[in-house]
Amino acid sequence: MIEATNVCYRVGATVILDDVRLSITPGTVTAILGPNGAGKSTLLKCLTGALQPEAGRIVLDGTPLDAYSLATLSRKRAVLSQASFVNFPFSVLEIVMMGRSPYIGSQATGSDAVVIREVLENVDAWHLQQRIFPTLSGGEQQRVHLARVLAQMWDRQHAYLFLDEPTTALDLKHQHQILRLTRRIAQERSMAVCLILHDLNLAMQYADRGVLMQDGRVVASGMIREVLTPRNIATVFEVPAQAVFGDTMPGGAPTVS
Amino acid sequence: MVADIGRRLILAWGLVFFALPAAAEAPRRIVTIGGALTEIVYALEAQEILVGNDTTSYYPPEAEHLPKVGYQRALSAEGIVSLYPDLVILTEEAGPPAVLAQLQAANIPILQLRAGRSLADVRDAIRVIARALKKDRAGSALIDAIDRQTAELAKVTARQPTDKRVLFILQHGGGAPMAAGRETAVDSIIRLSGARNAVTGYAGYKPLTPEAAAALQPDVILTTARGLAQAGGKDALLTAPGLSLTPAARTGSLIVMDALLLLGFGPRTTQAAATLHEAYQGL
Amino acid sequence: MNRAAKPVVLPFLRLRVTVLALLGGVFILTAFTAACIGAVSVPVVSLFDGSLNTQQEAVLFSIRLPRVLLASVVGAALAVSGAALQGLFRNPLADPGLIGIASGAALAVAIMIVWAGPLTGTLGLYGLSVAAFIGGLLACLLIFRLARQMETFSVTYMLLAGIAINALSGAGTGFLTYLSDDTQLRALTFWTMGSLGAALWPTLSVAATLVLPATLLLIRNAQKLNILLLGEDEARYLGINSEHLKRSVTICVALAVGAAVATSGIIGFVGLVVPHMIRLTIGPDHRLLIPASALLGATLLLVADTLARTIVAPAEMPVGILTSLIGGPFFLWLLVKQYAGRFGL
Repeated sequence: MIEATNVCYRVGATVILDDVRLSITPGTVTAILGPNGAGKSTLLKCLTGALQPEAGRIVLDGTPLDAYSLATLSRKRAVLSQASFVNFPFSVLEIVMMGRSPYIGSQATGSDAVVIREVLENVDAWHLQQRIFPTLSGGEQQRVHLARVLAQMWDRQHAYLFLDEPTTALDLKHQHQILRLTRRIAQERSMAVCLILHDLNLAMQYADRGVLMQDGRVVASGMIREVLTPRNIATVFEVPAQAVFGDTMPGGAPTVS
Repeated sequence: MVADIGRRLILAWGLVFFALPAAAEAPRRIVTIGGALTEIVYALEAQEILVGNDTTSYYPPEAEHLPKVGYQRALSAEGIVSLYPDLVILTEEAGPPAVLAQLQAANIPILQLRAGRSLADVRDAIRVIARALKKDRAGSALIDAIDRQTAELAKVTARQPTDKRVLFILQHGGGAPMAAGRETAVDSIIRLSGARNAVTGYAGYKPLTPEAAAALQPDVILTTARGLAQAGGKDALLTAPGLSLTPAARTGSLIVMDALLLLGFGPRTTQAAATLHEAYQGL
Repeated sequence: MNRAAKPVVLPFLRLRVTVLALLGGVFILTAFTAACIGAVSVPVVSLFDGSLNTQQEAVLFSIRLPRVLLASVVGAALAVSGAALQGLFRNPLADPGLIGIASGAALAVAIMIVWAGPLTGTLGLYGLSVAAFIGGLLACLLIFRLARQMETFSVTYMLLAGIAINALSGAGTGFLTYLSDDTQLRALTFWTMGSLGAALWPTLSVAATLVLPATLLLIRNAQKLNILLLGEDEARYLGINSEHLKRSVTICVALAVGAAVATSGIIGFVGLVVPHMIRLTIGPDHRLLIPASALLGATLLLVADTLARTIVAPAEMPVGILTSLIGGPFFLWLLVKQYAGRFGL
């Protein structure tokens, strides 16, 4: 469980995060939502330990986040950044293999090989295994990076997975496939998945919990359906919304009309 | 320790004998590095034991036909060793120092001399080389001849004194022209020729700016044949900024001489000074 | 989930052994050849049956062997530094010469020469190496400072920074030539030209004692460098202290380049060409790239230097001219490829 209390972050005089409080629980998918510039990525970076908040506490499984060594942390949580630019001709296998580096000195072992195959199949990228990474399309690259991040946590229980806009470059089919996958591993491995999404319909469909942000503050948090009310959406995103209930949807999804 | 040899190469005053063969035998294969040293070997008529020299050795013309071991400041140890010399004669200008250390390490005897800047240096070089080559008598004869010529020249310059102020310009590559100050070879030879160096303010070579050239007001401009070609010929040189404002440019007083003859400080130096002196009369 | 998946086996270990054995073999062969050819010929057989005459022995042991080994050490140092810098800057066009580390080192050497006079002997060489190390390190830090301003350090920006640093060093060296006397001037031109002609046993031992530990440390950090190529944040997420890594790699590179510059001046393009050749043929994995670059760099500089000292024998040409002759066009080709909008190679 990750608990953040009173988290503040500032760049110069600009307040990016203001008194943020939230908790992330194993076995659930938490979506961080909000318009551009709301502070979602900064919050994610604070939660992963990439940024040190100016004030406030972040506690991971009972211990302050900054008390962990980088190595211990790398076996507890994995992070998919928004854009990771690789300018060198690594093969897809080599990239995914790097996700296993917290566990191995330098050589691949048999079980690592199994993990790599499984994650690549799960993101529908096994057929790309021999390709040279920089020659892949944006969506393919994103899936391979996701496979790398999954490989880092694949055989862990109670691990944490942070995904910053994991679906931006993906086509519709893969968006659903990837989010279904995160939901499944959250439940099967009691993993805590925390992701930033722009598509509220997808959030409604796949997230258990939601954190709605505006101007560095948490506007609403809780069960996704309680967070994404038409009223909240209208105030935060400044667009009218209405709830539409469909048969195949796990719940009522508000749609932007 | 091989490295310490480098330190020992630092020259004491005047000139030093350096690791001459202990044997009383005369060397049979020598390499000279430095045009003046090559000239001395020819003047001692020891050329039959000369097996190689450097790119600055082009007088007498036969010296051109010997294997060249490169430019005296960028030598290659192995190239020299491959000529199997039992004596390498060079000046303090030869280098890089590590190459000399390598030659030492390969047991090649080296005779290192001071780079000539005066007639006294020439006499010393002749005496030392002659002794090393067991040609003492030829050496004394050569020194006597030089002394006679010098005395002759002194008489001539006393008879026809000149008050010319000479500016020597060294031009190589595309860089700025350099002017010779005090304590240079060319300063000595200008004095020997009975004239005065226009530059008195500094020692060694300094780049010549147009303003400095105009301020120096030389009566004569002296340069080497190669330098003149680099500068683009007589007209280009005398109309160059600054130089065009000098008495030398107004009277067209330009003297051009071969670099080795003028600067080499070898057996022909007195002749070179005499030639210079004659050249002043014709201006 | 655990169905009869055919496990992925990265044939990495086997590949690594094969490639390194192959490159090692080529290097040893080249070294033997280089030791035998030159202005004084030394037949290969006489190396083994002891039939060398005293002159050949003197040449071989006092002149040629130190030079062959120095060429190897310097070639390895430059190639390994290039490979590590490219990883550090996540930029395939980084090269100690192009981005100004070598010229920074050369400027420091020039300052040492003019300030402290000509330094000879082993201690003097270490002095020059330390100066070159500091000069190279300062150039590195300057580039890092510039890099920190940007999210991703673009090729253009890095090369521009390199031009600026090279120009600064050039101006500094130029200024020093005005201050220096004739002896110093000669020493300066030697260092800016680049030549292995000054190889003596002490030179070799200075270079080797600095380059070998630096190379080993870089090989130890190879997997971390791989992961750094994903980005600094990603490396952190994977448990790597990227600040720490960057610092130690920079120090290793500055050490290796410093030793190379102090003993043989600026020799360009080895650091650019060699890692690229390895990446093109074997791949970008630093665990293979760094040791393979060391062997190939040693081999290539050895070949270049052997040509430099034999083409115009008994004189010789500066080896830097040869490496630039090969490296210049190669660099242009890479630049065109980069700007053609393609990533990687």
